[in-house]
Amino acid sequence: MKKVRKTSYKTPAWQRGKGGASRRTVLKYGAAAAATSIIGAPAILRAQETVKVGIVYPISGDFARFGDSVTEATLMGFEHVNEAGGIEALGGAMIEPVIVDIRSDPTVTRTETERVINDHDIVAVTGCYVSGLSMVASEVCERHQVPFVTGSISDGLSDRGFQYFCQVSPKASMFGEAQVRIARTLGEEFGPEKNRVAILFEDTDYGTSTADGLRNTAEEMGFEIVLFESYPFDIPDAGPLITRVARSEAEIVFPVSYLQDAILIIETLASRNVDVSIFGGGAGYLVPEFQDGLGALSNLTYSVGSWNWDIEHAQPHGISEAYAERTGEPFIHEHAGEGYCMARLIADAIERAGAADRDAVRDALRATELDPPHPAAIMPGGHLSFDDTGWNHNVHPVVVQWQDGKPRTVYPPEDAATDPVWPLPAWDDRA
Amino acid sequence: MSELVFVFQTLVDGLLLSGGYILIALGLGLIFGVVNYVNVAQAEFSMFAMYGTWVLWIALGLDPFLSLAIILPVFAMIGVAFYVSMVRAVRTRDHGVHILMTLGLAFILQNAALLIFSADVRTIRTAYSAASFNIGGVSINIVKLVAFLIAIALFFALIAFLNKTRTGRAIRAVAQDESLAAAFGVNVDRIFMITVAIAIALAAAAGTIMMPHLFVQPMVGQFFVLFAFAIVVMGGMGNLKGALVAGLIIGVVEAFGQVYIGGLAGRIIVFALILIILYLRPSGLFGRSAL
Amino acid sequence: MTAVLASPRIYVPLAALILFIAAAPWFSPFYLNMAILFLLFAIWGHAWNIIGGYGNSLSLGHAAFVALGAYVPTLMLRAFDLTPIVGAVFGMLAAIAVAAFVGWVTFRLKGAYFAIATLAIITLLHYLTLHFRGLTGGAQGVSVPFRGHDPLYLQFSSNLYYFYILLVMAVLVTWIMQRFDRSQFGYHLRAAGQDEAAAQSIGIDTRQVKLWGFMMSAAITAAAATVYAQFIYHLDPFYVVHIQLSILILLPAVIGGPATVWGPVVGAALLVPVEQLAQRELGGTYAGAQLILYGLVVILVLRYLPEGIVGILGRYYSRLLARLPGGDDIGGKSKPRRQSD
Repeated sequence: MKKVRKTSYKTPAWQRGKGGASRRTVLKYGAAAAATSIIGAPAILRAQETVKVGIVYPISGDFARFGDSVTEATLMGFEHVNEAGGIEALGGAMIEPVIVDIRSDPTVTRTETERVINDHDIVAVTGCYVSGLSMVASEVCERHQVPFVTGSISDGLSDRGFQYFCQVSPKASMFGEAQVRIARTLGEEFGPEKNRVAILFEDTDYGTSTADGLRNTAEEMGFEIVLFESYPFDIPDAGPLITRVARSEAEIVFPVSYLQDAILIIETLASRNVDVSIFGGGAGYLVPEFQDGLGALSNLTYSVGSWNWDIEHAQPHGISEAYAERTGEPFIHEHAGEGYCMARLIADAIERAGAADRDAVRDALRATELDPPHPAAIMPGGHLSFDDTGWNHNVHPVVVQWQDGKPRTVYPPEDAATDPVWPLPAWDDRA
Repeated sequence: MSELVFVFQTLVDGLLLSGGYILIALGLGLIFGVVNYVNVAQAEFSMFAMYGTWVLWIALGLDPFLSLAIILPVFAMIGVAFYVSMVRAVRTRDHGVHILMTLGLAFILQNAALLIFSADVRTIRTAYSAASFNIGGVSINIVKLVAFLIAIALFFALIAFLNKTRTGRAIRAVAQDESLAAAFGVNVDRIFMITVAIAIALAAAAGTIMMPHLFVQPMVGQFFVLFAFAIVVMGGMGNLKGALVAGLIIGVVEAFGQVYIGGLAGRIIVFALILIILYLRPSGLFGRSAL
Repeated sequence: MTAVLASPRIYVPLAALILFIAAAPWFSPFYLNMAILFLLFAIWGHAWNIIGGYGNSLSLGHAAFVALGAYVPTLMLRAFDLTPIVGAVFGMLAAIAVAAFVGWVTFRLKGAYFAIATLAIITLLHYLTLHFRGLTGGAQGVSVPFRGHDPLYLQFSSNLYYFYILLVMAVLVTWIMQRFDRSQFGYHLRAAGQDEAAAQSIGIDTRQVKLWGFMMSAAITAAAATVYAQFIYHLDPFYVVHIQLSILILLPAVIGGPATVWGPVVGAALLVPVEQLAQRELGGTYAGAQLILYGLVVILVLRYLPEGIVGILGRYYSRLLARLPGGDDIGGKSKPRRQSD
């Protein structure tokens, strides 16, 4: 049975985010998952016609916004492979994605990952966007000896000596470094030098692991950390937090936030006219909703990201345009970009392995040596290969700045698509 | 800026944020004081009111504060339905039964919201959302100020209603002695129904006034209700004036905890405070007075 | 001995148990997983039932004991390489200490106060876990170090082992609950829960009895949580230290039948498969649909079946037993023993 997923949205994901319910996507996935579980049962009979890959993301629950869009980008990657003739080494076998919803819940992640491994003859699993969930899913995969490919960033992921683990993204600790480095570089090149920094981070896995790296690098580079502050991710009011920032007399703020808290922080900083330069920590600072929620106030905000739609290596493949057409979002965000990268990587590894076999695919994944313009080699740093821990050690984060309604890559120079604007004007002049 | 400015800013932040919580706690206390019923799904009604406000804004462009005119009567009716289906039959049973049943209701409402509206965070940002003014360096957000003033106005309206109107006095009579009130010809069941309707409308008002500066997602009520319970415990179960004062205190304590200790300290202090108060003064700081 | 075995009261459950044990190796991973969660929630249901059912004191904070039973041994394993078999004892002690504190604060109060205090304690613990991240791993949670197949550290190559461990625990706890149900302690706790003044008038120190019940409940919850931690191998404070889990823990006993021996077991046997099958079949299609069902069931059971489903089920069960060989003495009319009424 061929299962090329033809996803043609009448209502793009982007619109759904505003008005309708993203349930519709889930409905679609649900139907696909159910279909594969019934029809896909006697996998051995049709061994070479399709190769199954598990796509394990939270497409409902707190992190649905991101899980949903990364799933979409991953599917797009596999579709591009299938449209180009599938896996040649397996006689043009199609890649059949098996989508699993892990509901932003670690217990469900545990059981669902195990289920997809046991019920389907999958050769690899990719997921889970949320680092905490990737921790669980990668444990399950390691214990079942199934390759796990992730774009999650937590440092804890790769320091466990796992053999079936691959991480294409930069590590959390590096984001901090990139954030601090650009702040330093901009100050040195254009002046004035600013030294007093405040680090704000939301209290989930993502924020805390990134913040530690931020602190270390900021200290190393001689910044004075006047505030190192976590806040609840469901913070109802940023007032007290911003009072704390103002009290600390910080000149630079490094906030690590999801979306809602990112908007509250910027809004409150602006309304209190707290004169600081902001270098955001990815996620919420890099999705279209950021601009939607803040309007002109979003302009010129800096943020670090693991990828950006306008970096050079991604240009030949038209990913952002294809994704925009598919979902209606104005550009592809960093994590969806990684999703695409991982899909192409897994397909390439199956091709090189020449067999729909978990160990062969693992070996092929770990032996990856890809260079641009290969569609899997789109991460910053270009060359894609893995070290002994399974980490893509060539990768580095990029720094973007919101300019004219889109995040544009401004640092490091080899990835930059445009020049940074510095120093930042007063809040009233940001538009 | 001088330290004094920060102190006042924190005070203002704490006070302004407490308005919504106070309204939820008032409804909770009113039902408890009059009907002797514990409703842990109280804030779920606020959550639905937030969605209602959002829908009115998206679909009709109705200003969130003006939508109170629609939200209040609609949720009073919902309150009547809630009384008839969930309260009346089990009113005289244990508080544990009330809590579990309304917990079941909370499950239903939260997940119904998830099905209808998805887990996406919804916000209302009006043209005046970011507007604020400045008094001696203390920045005051107009949307939050308006929300707070509406909450306080509703509190005094409620007190006036309970003291000045016939129905209000009947409610107080029932709260003091149900059988005595019945003996004097008060239709107790009708009084209960009106009380619950008012309480649910208050919860809805809380949701609506918070919507312009906050956001809604299906689980948002879980957080509100914790704060509302903290307020009720501190103010004394069923003590409305106590709830007002306790609400203001808790708002300010959380804000100062956040600014001067940091991180989650605000919330940690608030919940540790509940345990301490339960131990030292189980009837709340202001006693359990009859309304 | 054979006379005892000849009664269907004994041989029917025994046969069911043996069948369950023997069939387990043939369960597909999905059903094995379901069986493990069933056992886990049956044990937690039993534990909750002691204070929430017999003691009639609504605890919304049992996730706090799960958290202590899961975190304490895991942190000790990471720090001192201590096997969770020993670590479990420390987890239980921590849970007992917290229960003693909360009970001491609130058992002189009535009604909703205990529920609110337990709500406060789980919320407080949640934020404390996030706040002291040096100790607890904060929001990142904490992983159980992977040691391969190492039975001394409760780590196994197959989930089947967890099934058998939890089965032994579940049988043991059910047996304890059988004894407890008929013991003086059980009688006192039930009396204290139903009518505090009446219980005090016949000389029961209700506060003391509830305190002991709460501590016992906490200890059992924590012990099962230690096994759970090895099974789940990553502890996430947004699940393990969260009110939502408290609610999942109380549902089996409430729906199955509070203050009955078999209520939590029947409740878990109903709820866990529904949850798991809904998750598999709907695959997130209607995220949360099964929780709406849960909510409805809770409301309807409380409204119309305050004794839980074990009340009706028990009658059919007795009738069934009466027809089996050796069941002459049972008679269709005997209701399952419950409450002192």
